[in-house]
Amino acid sequence: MGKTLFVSCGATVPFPRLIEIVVSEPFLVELTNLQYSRIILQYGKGYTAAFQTLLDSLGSSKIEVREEKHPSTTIQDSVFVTDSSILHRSLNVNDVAVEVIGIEFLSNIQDIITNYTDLIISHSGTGSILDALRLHKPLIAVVNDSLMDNHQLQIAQKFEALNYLWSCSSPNLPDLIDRLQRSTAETKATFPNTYNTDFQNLLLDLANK
Amino acid sequence: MILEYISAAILISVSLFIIKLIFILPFFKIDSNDTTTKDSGIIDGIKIRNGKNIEVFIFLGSGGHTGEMIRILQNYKNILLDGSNVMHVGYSDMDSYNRFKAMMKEYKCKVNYYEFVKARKVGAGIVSSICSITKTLLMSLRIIFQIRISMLNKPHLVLLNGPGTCCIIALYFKLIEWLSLVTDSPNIVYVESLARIDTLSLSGKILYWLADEFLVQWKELKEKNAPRAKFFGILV
Repeated sequence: MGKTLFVSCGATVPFPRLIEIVVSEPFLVELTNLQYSRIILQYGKGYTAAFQTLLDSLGSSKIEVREEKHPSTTIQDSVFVTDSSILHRSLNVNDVAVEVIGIEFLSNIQDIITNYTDLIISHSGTGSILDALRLHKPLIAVVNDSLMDNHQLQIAQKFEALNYLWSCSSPNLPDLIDRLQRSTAETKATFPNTYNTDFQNLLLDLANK
Repeated sequence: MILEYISAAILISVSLFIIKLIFILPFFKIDSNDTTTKDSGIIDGIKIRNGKNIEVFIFLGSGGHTGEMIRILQNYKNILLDGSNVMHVGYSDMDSYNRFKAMMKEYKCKVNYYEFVKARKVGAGIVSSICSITKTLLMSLRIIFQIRISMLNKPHLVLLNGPGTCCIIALYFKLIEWLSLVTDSPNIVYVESLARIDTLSLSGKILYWLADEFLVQWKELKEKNAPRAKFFGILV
């Protein structure tokens, strides 16, 4: 059984350029080279039809789309807690079985990360970064550079400087493949527990003032 | 003669309110750094220093703000989500409300919800906008007043982290403190977003002048733009 990649675009704004790169032939080929056999994508609200189209266009010389699920790699749909539909494709990429699962929004994202994920690629929102780091999973944070006035680039660079993650300043294939390769070769620092006694005492003192 | 007494009375009360204003605003406070209240167990003989029986007001913004607020609550659940606490939860966004409600299934504290209606609808005319803004402001004042009464003489905290509506909420808490005769601080804590590394958000800039405790999550932000802020590292 190969490894699982989890991709999260956050719940509020879809991030089509990231999804398109992850589900592209060169990236899928690189994933299979690195022993990945499953991709779970939380692609965000309002992107279901576009994701369906993306899946339908997948067949190529290197990618064979299979009708039936791979019995060896299949993950039960009941594992995912969601109100939206679950889009499922079984592929052969260079004759290696790869399963692609897309979901609009997951309610049990932490459970999926904890139990089924070896690597996370997410947009660079603080919520997604914290989810990954708190569960001590390797993380590639990709900045959504099409958002106006956002702090994704700053926060990604800051966390990378602290050696907690790999960052990409925009969604592009060469950078993402580079980070993917580095994620199998390097290890990052462990994110510390953010529970803080001084803050707790401050809350207590103030409440009782 | 009577006129002189009246003007003297007015002058004295105005001066008293100005003095009180100086006392309640955080930037006039002298940070004494005293440790006398720490670990004493009992403060002023009645209130016991623990995480029980606290009335907590929080405001849920949207998306990232709500996410950070939920992380703070869970990180400090011993104090903030104790079963004997009362939570007053303000919200204006349904997603945040549902997310919070789902999280609270695990906790036993009593929760009261208050909806803060968004002030202006897109495309509304000037007159109807003014009407709806005034109505929203008055409704929020009524909610805050109600919560303030409930908190009176009990250990309490007001926990805010943005966005805009927080400023109005903090302003009302301070206004009630200023105009009321009983002196009981609203205990406003503001935690600036983790996404703010070296500049304050707009809400942060305003609440820097209103919150009783102002926290930032990056050292650079305290050094560059918020010297009075407290910094204890990442809190979310």
